[in-house]
This record gives sequence, C-alpha cells and structure tokens, in this order.
Amino acid sequence: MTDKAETVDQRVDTQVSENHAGPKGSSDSASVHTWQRISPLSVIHYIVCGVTQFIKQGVQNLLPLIPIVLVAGENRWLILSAVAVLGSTMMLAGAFLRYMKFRYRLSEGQVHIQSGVLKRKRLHLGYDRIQNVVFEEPIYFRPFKLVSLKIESAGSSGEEVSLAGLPRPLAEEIRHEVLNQAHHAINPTQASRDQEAGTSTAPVTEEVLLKLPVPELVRYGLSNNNIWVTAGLIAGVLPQIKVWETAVAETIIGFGRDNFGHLAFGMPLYVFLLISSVFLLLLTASVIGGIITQYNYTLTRGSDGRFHRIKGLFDRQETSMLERKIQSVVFKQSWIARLLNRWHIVLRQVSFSGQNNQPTKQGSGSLLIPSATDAFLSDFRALVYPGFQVPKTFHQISKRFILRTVAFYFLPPALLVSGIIFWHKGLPYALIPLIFPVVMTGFMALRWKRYGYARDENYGYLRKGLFGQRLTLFPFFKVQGVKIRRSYGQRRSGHATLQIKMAGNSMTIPYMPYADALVWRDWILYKVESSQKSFM
Amino acid sequence: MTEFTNNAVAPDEITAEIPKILGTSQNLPQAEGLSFTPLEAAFIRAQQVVIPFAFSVPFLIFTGINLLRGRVEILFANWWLALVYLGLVTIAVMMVPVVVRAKGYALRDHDIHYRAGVIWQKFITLPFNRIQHVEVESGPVERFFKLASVKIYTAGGGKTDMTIPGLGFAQATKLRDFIIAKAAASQTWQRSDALEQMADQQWDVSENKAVPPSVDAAPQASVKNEAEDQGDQRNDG
Repeated sequence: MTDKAETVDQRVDTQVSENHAGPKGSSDSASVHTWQRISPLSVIHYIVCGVTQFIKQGVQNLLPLIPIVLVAGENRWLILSAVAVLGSTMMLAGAFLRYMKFRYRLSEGQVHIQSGVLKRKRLHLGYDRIQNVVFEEPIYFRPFKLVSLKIESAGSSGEEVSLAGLPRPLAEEIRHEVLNQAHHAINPTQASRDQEAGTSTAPVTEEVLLKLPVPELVRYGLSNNNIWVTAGLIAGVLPQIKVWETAVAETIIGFGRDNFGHLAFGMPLYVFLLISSVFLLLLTASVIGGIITQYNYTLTRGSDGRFHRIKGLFDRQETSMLERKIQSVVFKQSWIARLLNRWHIVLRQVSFSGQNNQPTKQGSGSLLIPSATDAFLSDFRALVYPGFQVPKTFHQISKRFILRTVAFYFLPPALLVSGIIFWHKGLPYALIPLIFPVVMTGFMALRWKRYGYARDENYGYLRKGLFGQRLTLFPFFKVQGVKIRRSYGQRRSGHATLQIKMAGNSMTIPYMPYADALVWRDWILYKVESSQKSFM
Repeated sequence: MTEFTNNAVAPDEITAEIPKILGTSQNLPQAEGLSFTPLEAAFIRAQQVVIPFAFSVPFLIFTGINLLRGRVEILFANWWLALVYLGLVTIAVMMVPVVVRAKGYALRDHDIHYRAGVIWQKFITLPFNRIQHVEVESGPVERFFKLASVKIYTAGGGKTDMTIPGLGFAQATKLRDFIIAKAAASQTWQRSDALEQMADQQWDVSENKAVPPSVDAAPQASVKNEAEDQGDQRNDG
C-alpha cells in the first residue's frame, strides 16, 4: 500500500495536464483518466462556500472581537479592520490552496480524489456505489459556462465528491462514464449486448415527464410541510430570547391596546389577526422559497433508465439518478395538498447513515417530484413499477391500536398531571388534564383509519397519515430484513406489529392480524431470496 | 456445516404454487415454527454478574448527590435503601435465565432468524443475500466467560440489524464464517472482480468491508485495515 501511494504521488507531479479550464473544454476522452485539476475559477466557489459557512456558523465567530472593541479604545477601528483584512486574506489564500491541492481522475471504475490543504484526504469511490450525479450551476459560474459536479454515493457524507468548476462538456462526459459504467458493472450481460450492438455510444432519447409552471410551484409552496416546521422552530426560539420583554413586543401589544382595546373581544380579535398574519407571512415565504428552489422544474426520463431533473432559479441544479437505485416511492399529501388536489412524490434511495458513526446526510438520497396531479401519479406509478396492480382497498389494522397508543403514551402523563393538580387544588381542576387523552383518542382514531396495507405479487403498498396521507410503494425484492414484534396483549388478541426494513428507512404496520403478518413475512422473504437482482 | 441444513427449500419448489393476493401461504416456506438454537448457558451467568454493579449506579448517584450537599451518608446508610437494592437485584438475577432462554437463533438455507423477548417478543429475519457486513464482538465480561456476540448489518442505516449474543468463541466464529460464505455465494449480481477484491481485502473506502471470507479466528473480525489507513496518512503528510 505504501509503495502504491508513492507512485500515485509521482504521477500527480508528472501527469497533471493543464487542459482543464476554459470553455474550449477537453473532448479528449482519455484526459479524465489521468490526474486533473479543476478550473481556477473554482476559487470563487470555495470563497462563496467559505463565506456561507462563516455566516451559517454565525455570530459566535465574532465573539472574540468583543473584548478587542471594548478594550482597544481609540485604535479599535484600526485593529478591527486589520482583523478583517487578515481574515479575508486567509480565506482567499485558503480557497486558492484548496484549488491548488485538488486533483481528480477516473480510472478502473473508480473516481479518485485528492484534496485538503492541512489534512490530506484521498478518496476512491467505486462507480457501482454512485447514486446521483448532480450538476449545480450557481449564478457566478454561469457567465463562464462552468458547472459544479457533485457525485452522491450510497455511503456516508465523507464519500461525497464535489468537482467545482468544470466546463459543461467535460462534466457531461464524466457523468456519462460514471453512470454508464456503473450500469454495466452491475449488468454484464447488458454491457456485452450494448457492445455487440454498438449502442453504448448511441444517443439516449429523453422523454419529458413533467414540467412545472409557476402556479404549480405556488401550490407546492402552499402545501409542503416546511412552514409548519419553521413555525415550530420559531415557537421554540421565542421563549429563549425572552421576546416578551423586548421593546418590539411592547410596541406590538401597545398597538393592539390602542386600536383594538376599546372593542368588545378586541384583544382576542387582535391576537387572532396577529397569528393569522404570521401564518400568511410564513406561507408567502414558503411560496417564494418553493419558487426559488424548484423554478423551471423539469423531469425527464432517458431511454437508458435514468431520471433527470432540472430545477432552481439562482442555483440551477441538474440531477441524474438511475431508476434501479430507487428503493421505494412515497406519495405524500398534506391536508393543504389534499385541498389543492396535488401530491408530492419522493423517490427514496439507499441512504446509509454511515457504518462509522457518521451522521446521516440530510435530504440526500431522495428525489422530490412536487405538485403532481392524480393523473401524473398513476402514470408515474405505472412507469416506475410496471405491472403493479393498484389495490381497490387497503386492509385495515386493528382498533386496538387506538387503545394501546392512548393507554401507553397519553393516559399516563395526563393521570400524573391530574394527580398533582388534585393534590394541590382539588377535584374540578384535576379533571382538566384528562381532556388531553380524550382528544388524542380522536386523533388516534384518525390515524387508525388511515393506516392500511395492501400488496400484489411483487409490491407492497402502505398508507398512513393523520390529516394528510402518505402512501409508500416498494418492490418486495428490495427489502433488507423483516421483524415481527408481539406484546403480551397482541398475542392474546392475535395481532402483531410488522416492521419492514429497507435500505435507508423502515416501515411499520402496527396491529395487523398475526396471520397476515406471517404471510407478509414469508412472502417478502421468498421474494428477496429467490431474486437474483441487485437492490441497488 | 452439516448441522445447518434444516428446512431446506429449493427455490423451484417455492414457485410451484404461489398464493395470488393475500391467500393462504400453504406453499410458501414458513418461518413460523422453526426450532431455535438457544444461547450458551454461560451467558446467563455473564448477565447475572453484571446486575449488582449495574443496579448500584442509581444508588451511587444518590450517594454522590448527598455528598455534594454536605451530608456524609454512605451508600447503604439507610436500611430500607439497602433492602430496595437487594430486592431489585434478586428479582433481576432471577429473571435473567427466563430472558436468556427466550433468546435464540435459527438458520435456513436462505436466511437467519433471531428471537428474543418474554413479554414483548420479537422475531427478526435477515436474508443472506442482503447481508453486508458481519462482526464478532466480545466485551470484557463476555471475554471472561469465553463468550462473543455476532453482529449482522444490512444496507442502509449504521445500526446493527441483528445481534446474537451469548455464543461461544468457536461457535461465534463458525457462525460468522457461515453467514459470510452464504452472503458471498448468494449475492450473484456482484461483479466477479468485486468479489475478488473482497477476498483480497484490498479496498479503502469501499462499503464492502462487508463480506470477506475472513480466515483468522480472532474475535475482532471487522475487516477495517487499520495498518493500511495509517500508512496512507503517513504518506499524505
């Protein structure tokens, strides 16, 4: 291994060719197989990355400056500007060094990367582990016709490759090699057939599946769940910064008292208006965010079994994804999406959370198709999972699910709080916390109603949800493992909880009849074990 | 490995009659009713030995708090505290054989099963052709009792998918090698050179540290080649 590394280093010195940058590109197909540099313009990319990271990491970076400002007196501006100059110089130098130290090449079915200034890192990523190839076209690369090529692997985030600043033809060449060879590595017969027919270089025909105009993106912005997450975050942060004590809060309350105070129910009305306007604001933000991220959304499918997605206003993204890498497809419909009659489809891929305790990559490993109509949904389902027989109804789980969930999760805390209140205040007040499990029973009944499972010979189809719904469709042969759990009560009533583990996520059907759980398990095992196909 | 040929079901036998949709599963090979191999009896003792120490932790914390508040009370200064502790330990020690006897594993031609739980029971099944990685692990207490655990991983999620504890050293190694051999043989879509690579154990970042036909019988079977990594880093510097 040691020898090998040395020879590699020599090759770096001798074989770095300078044909990288410039719009003329390099059509010489052998070039990517020797060590290459990326475009010098990638320095811009590294600077932008550095700045965004600095902003994201936030104000605590600036904390050391506070004592300087307080102590330095007259000279503070001089010192501050010195620090700023030093900081930006270091950032510039860092970006330049990162560019200088970066090498890549493709060889022997692997992407090789050498990077890092202080801590050198070398990465060999096999083509067969590549899931997505993403072209990012940030606004500052567009005048130079450069793209950033991102290769997302089925591994941890440490295995992500980012080649900033490649001319587009070269990036396309790399994508072609990486994705096609991955394909051939898995299906040798297909590869030889391709070679015999000479089709490996034949043009791939692309079929446009979906183009989303702005109104559809507005629908997506309105109906995705992000605003509720944001609202939750804001609600969580407000008490921390003691917002009630600030002047802003006083002004808002004062305004309400002055203008609504004299009305009957004036203040409640004011609070209601306040909350609604906050939600309106969030909705607007969500719509704008949706338009920015999903602008000009186009989904195509190549004849080579590859999905291709283009989106984005400022930061244009092109993602290519092999169809056979899809582990399961989720059709999501929040309650607003239900009203708008739209679905958001998520194509789930393998997402390792890392064998070496690395954190899970957020949001990667899946591809979103926003704002799909019922018609598109059924067409798409038939396209990805041909032969799937859509079930007329879903099988329901047992009503004991409601009882169990309320009795286990909601009743004990309510009883505890009720007991404490009874101790201090007496009976009528002690009954108030008991409203909680009653309300939750209603919610759990809704959940129970949504829970459903169905299958045909090759596919499983699960439904769950509360106000909205979420349908998961997966081919049985991609399942990784099956688990059946049974509590004492479930054994008495003849039920079981079935957990189906896929690569990246697992699905649970609670309180299904034991006989059904057994058939599902045996059927899935049979399908997996008799399959010769790769799940990825 | 002749003892592992229970319940052999040839794939063509399965296809003879397939239940259409949620019909009866008569012709499907059934995982229900397998006979499970119990864990080593030594595992009961290994678990029991730990209990007095494990249960003393909350009491020690209680004592620590008392000390911090300036009240010098040793652990069992209160006789009722000692009684509570002894009672809990006795109950737990008596429970251990019941819990351990409920655990066990079973093998079929195409999959491995693990069962556990007395009140809340669970049955896990992993098909061999989805297994990515197998480890044999042995903690200090386990080592003292000459025991090891086999940990099995599938794709996706860093969590262990199946842990079979309380196996003898030899048994654990044998089981690991058996699983690895089965996994390698069943994952036929792997490129032949990829399999060779696996056999040679010469890859760095590849995820397939999974299924190498490992030869040494040492309990630590994770195939991450530490020496190789360090060599790389030295060169980088």
